[in-house]
Amino acid sequence: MKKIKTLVLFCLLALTTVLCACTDDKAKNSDSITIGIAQDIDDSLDPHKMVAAGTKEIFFNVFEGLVKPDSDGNIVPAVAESVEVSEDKLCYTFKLRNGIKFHDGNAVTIEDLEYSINKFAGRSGDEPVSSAFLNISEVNVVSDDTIEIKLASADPAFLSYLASVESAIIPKSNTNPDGVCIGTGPYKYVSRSPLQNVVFEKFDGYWGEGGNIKNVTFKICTNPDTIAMELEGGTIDMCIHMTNGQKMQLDKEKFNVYEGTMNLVQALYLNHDFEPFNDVNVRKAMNYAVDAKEVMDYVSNGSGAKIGTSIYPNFGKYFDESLTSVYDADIQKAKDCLSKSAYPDGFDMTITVPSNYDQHVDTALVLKNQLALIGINAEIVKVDWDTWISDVYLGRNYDSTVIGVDAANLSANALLSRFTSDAGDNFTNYDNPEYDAAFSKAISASDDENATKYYKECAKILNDDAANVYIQDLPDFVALNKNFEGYKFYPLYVLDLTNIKAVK
Amino acid sequence: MGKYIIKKFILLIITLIVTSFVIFLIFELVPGDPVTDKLGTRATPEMIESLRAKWGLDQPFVLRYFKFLGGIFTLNFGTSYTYGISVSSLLKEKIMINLVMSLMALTFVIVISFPLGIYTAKHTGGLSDKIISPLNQTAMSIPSFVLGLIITFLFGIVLKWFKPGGYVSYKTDFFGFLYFLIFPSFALALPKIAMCIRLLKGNILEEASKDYSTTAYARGNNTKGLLYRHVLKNAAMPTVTFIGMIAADMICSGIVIEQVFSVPGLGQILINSISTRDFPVVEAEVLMIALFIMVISFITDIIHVIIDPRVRI
Repeated sequence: MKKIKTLVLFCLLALTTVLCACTDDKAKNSDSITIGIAQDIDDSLDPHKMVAAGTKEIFFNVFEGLVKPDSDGNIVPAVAESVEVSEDKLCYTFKLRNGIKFHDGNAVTIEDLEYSINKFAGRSGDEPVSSAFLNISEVNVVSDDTIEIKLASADPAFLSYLASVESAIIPKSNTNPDGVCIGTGPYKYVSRSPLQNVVFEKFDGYWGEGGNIKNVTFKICTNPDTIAMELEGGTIDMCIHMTNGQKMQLDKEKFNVYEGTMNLVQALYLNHDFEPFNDVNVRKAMNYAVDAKEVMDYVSNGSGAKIGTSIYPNFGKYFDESLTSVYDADIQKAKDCLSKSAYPDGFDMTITVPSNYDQHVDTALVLKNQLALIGINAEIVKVDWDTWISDVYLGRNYDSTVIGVDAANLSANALLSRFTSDAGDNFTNYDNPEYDAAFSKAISASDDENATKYYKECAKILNDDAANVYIQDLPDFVALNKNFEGYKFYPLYVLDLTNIKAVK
Repeated sequence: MGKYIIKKFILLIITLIVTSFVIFLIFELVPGDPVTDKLGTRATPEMIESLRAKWGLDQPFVLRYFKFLGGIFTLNFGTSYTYGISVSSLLKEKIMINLVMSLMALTFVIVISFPLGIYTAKHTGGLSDKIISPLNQTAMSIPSFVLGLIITFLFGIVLKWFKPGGYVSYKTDFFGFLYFLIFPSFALALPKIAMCIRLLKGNILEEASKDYSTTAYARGNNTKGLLYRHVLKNAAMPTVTFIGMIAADMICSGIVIEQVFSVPGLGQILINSISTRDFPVVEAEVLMIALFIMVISFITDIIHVIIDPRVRI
């Protein structure tokens, strides 16, 4: 009996030693990186059909358009080597990059360009990825390496639409773009396993400098409570979009935490068809009652950037710093505004929030307390994401909601077009002829300077009119194991893998 | 026996049909729509219309239900809305994970609880009983997700026996897969082990105080002989039933454990599919779980018949 006991003990000991050794070996492999992402990648693999921001964020590395954004927000050539714009700004001529290849090894041809442009612009039967592409009047192949796009009316932001993942160039020969993923980016898609992972591999035939790390695995971490443990345990080397709470659990010796902003306009969006919210005094009162600083303190320990209108700070030239302080919290002013309205003693309202976004739920809680100070009784209704999309966003059946709105591309148009009275995605039912006029001037401006001027005017109108209760651009934390370095934030919602490299 | 099996089988079919109808109905009634979830914020009325038609959601409720029912009988559960691949291929790997995890946990339960249960019964009131009983009580009362976190912290972070959340697919590394699953399985098994020990101990003590035990003593049996030859057979009966119930419950408890250990099993895909309203996946999976539970209870019944002749009458 004693012998058996000793044997069992010995075996266990041996097993432990061997297994411990295994774990160590894997951790030192600098050729691979595992990145934790919070949501499953369940979108179509066709870039022109990708919907979720989280999908486009990582497929930024797989697909490229004729042009693409860089980390400073400039638009640089990608599949096209150069672009020429005619005097009247109506004709864009793109020259195909010499020697550029798709991930399957085939050269990119002018036919692929023509096919892709027609596909994402909605000229071959599908819906266009952006209504802005309806402006395209002609797509002409000029020669083997030149293609021109003609517009019906000038649009200074046209190139920025072409720079998004949704306007990627894909091969004409791929008959099943939904399931087979072929692009021209620095990384190629290898596989995905639902709720488990997505695997990318460095593309050796990339035209540019390309990435530094050979194998990239995105691990789906749906449980926010275990992310810090997975980082500490070495299962994931990097995690994007961490909350302040998760960040605080990390060991500072082992991880670098990068702080940026999420590039979202977080606001208490008001449904202008809901009775009290059609009164500008009510909206102003709410803006004065809400203290954005207090929201930031509570939700993310003071991190975040004040906005004041539907433009976030990373939009550089369109952002107007002065608008952030127009509605600094002032309960007396709030009460004065409210007394001028038909509801001097306040009213009842609901705040609908998607329950999967902790930051928005927390924000709603703070807002409820702040609004109570001027007699507005807000009730918080938590709904799941799917219900939010169908009832709030598409159905527009709500009083108010806390959400962050992102920009699909680097043009102010992406953030401002939804507030024109006839926009299909105007989920706040905002209707202001003055705004519509300024917006139409902005999109028809012949040069960028004028366009910027009118976009800024639009942003100012939203602020003056207190269209919504603008709060902040949420802070964004990225943790990177000290074995790696080089993470860079973009002014858009993208993760560029090429900057990340192993520390020697 | 044959009649018994046929009766059970018919019952099984009826239950499955009722279950499938209930889920179908629930999905009809809850707010939210798979089409708007798929299209997200880019949805236009035309796109919604065409996708709805493509998925057959524009047809009336009854028609859709019968189509679905027909699908089940030909083992065709349709295509997942979210992933665009067939439901069976989607669930194949997940089933493997949960099956292995449940079997492993069940093995833990049997291998650990029987010896310990018998041991504590034999030494009631002794030192070992005084140590094991409170431990048992604790293991029973800790919720499994807390237990999961403790195990992850202790074995994953402190002892570094495994990487937290470091699940590997059985396709790439089968032994790595088995090794990783030991920890979630153990977390799954621990509360059940505690319950089994308590149950077995109680039953043994109860049986030992009955008249036949006294008679057996009188016939010259010693404690060991009495325990193994007479008492254990009777005392094990309720425990076997209980283990059957545990086995059926493994998949459901597994859902929580999967979350804690980031195992991409049936539970995660179920929760995810419910939130994206991926109806074919949910329906197929719930039916599978129902089937699983019924098959287990069927097997338990059979084992009962084998070890207890009285049930046969």
